Amino acid sequence: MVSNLAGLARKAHGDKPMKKKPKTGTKVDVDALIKADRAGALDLPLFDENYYNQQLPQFAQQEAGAFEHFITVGEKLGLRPHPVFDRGYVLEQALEAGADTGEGFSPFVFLLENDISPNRLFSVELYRAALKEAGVKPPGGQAMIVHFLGSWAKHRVAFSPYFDVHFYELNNPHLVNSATNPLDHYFRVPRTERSDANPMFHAGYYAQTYQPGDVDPLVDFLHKGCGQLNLPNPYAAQELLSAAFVTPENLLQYIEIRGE
Amino acid sequence: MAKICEFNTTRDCQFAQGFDGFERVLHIFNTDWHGVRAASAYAPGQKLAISERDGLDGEAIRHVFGIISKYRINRVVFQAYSHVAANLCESIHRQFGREVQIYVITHVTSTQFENHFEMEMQALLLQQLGKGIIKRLGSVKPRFNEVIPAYWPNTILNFSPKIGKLAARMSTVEGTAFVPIENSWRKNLYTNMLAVQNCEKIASVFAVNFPTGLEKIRTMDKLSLTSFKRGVDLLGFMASMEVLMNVTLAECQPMTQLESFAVGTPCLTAPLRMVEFEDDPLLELVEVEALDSPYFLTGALDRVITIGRQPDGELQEMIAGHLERRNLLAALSYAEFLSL
Repeated sequence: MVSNLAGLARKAHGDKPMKKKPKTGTKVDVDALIKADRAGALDLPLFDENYYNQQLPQFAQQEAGAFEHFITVGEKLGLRPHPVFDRGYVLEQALEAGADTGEGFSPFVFLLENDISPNRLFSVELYRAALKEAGVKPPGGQAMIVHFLGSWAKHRVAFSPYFDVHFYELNNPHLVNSATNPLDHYFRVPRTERSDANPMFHAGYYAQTYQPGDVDPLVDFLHKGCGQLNLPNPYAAQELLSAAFVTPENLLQYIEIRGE
Repeated sequence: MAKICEFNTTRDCQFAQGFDGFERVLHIFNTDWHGVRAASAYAPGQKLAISERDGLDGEAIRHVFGIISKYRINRVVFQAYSHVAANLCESIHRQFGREVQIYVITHVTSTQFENHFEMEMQALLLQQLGKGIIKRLGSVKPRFNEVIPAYWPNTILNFSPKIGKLAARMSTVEGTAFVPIENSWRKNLYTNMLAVQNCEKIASVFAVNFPTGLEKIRTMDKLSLTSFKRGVDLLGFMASMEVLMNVTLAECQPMTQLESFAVGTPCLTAPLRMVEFEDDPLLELVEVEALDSPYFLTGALDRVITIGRQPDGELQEMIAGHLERRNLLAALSYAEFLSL
């Protein structure tokens, strides 16, 4: 059952399962990044110093060297480098890929080196394909999520089959034509105050009905809710029954964003 | 308990006419108004049934927004109007602005203004038109702009249900008639019943409502009551009849007639006065000029049945020709009204 759910989640995420051995990506020179951070020249969109510091008690907040603190202390404590970084999901992908996740393992570094997804609402494959379709050469030697965070506003291409930017912007009109990354914005807003990012997924209904706790309702649905046949809205069963059946696959297809 | 908000149900889609270009059109209608629901169900586009009785809550309105967004709807057509529809209309306008154009098609005649609710709705529509919430008002009643000048001057034509050839006249029982009308002054049930009773070519009459009291002055030996039907059951029953009677005193474009034609059964009505079909041989045959006398209705019945029983299939050809032209013209009228 667990492996089924993991497979489903992968399908939900839109990426193919990783092979047993992780792909050899660019080797991340952590020391060089730490040095750059100390010099105030760290250019890594997946590490947000302010966001990171907010997770620390005030006395421990880092005026300088926050990145080093994260690598040496924070990550082990489960702190997040960026709102879009889902440690559990990255770890899950690493385990599936057969990576050694023992002592010294850094999910953050693993993500950068293997170009995997930081959360279930970002699909590396879809983003890469969308860039290509838009005539943008996908970046080499850089994780897709880093490219996405750094230059989404420039290309505004799709990055998830389940996150509908247009719908999200309808509920957040101030984001229209702004440089703000919608996924970044989504995860920065407190969970209970987030606008829906998927037309057919009613987060309020889902949270009230299935109580996913601190987990984002849409993320919970993609992770395990659809496998448990949790419904994305109060009308889903009725609408699916008139077309097909309520199965995990149909539930995912039901909330999948349609193209133009 | 979720409020009624039924999207693309089987009953609203299975007999819809297919015309390209309507994929981003959403028809919204009341779940309980059967004629209007049928008119919407047979039209091309996406379908949403709501309920005046049940209302809509925040969750349902949120779902409508989701449907509009997911299906990239750019034109919403309210088929008939209610207070619930008016509130939803304003909500859609607030949420989507100019991205989604809102149209309203009315299905009433001025005769029905006797029911003040209808005028109340027209007043509400004019207010919303004035505010720019509604883009255009249209009607299936010819020349409704003579009633309210703000209406689009052309007529919206209703579609017939799209039914496979399988249904055509396979199970027709000679000498049977169906009178599927309610017992009200406007619907003219008594005159229809007397007409079929007087028609020698008719042996059995089926009705969904009893013409109460008529048995005191006439023998009603041909009459059988049948249950109210819808969908496949209704169409199948119509197919088994030799003729339908729907000669009412005030009418727009009765869906009963279009459903009946779709299964190859002629259906008598009052004159519908549609310029698009002024020279249509089928409508000329089935429209009855004098509505309040069984004598004229029986005469029309005789003529229709006589032609229908001819071995050359003339009546069926007339029906097929009418439907082909009707649905094409209906698509064109919708396309023009919606500026597609």
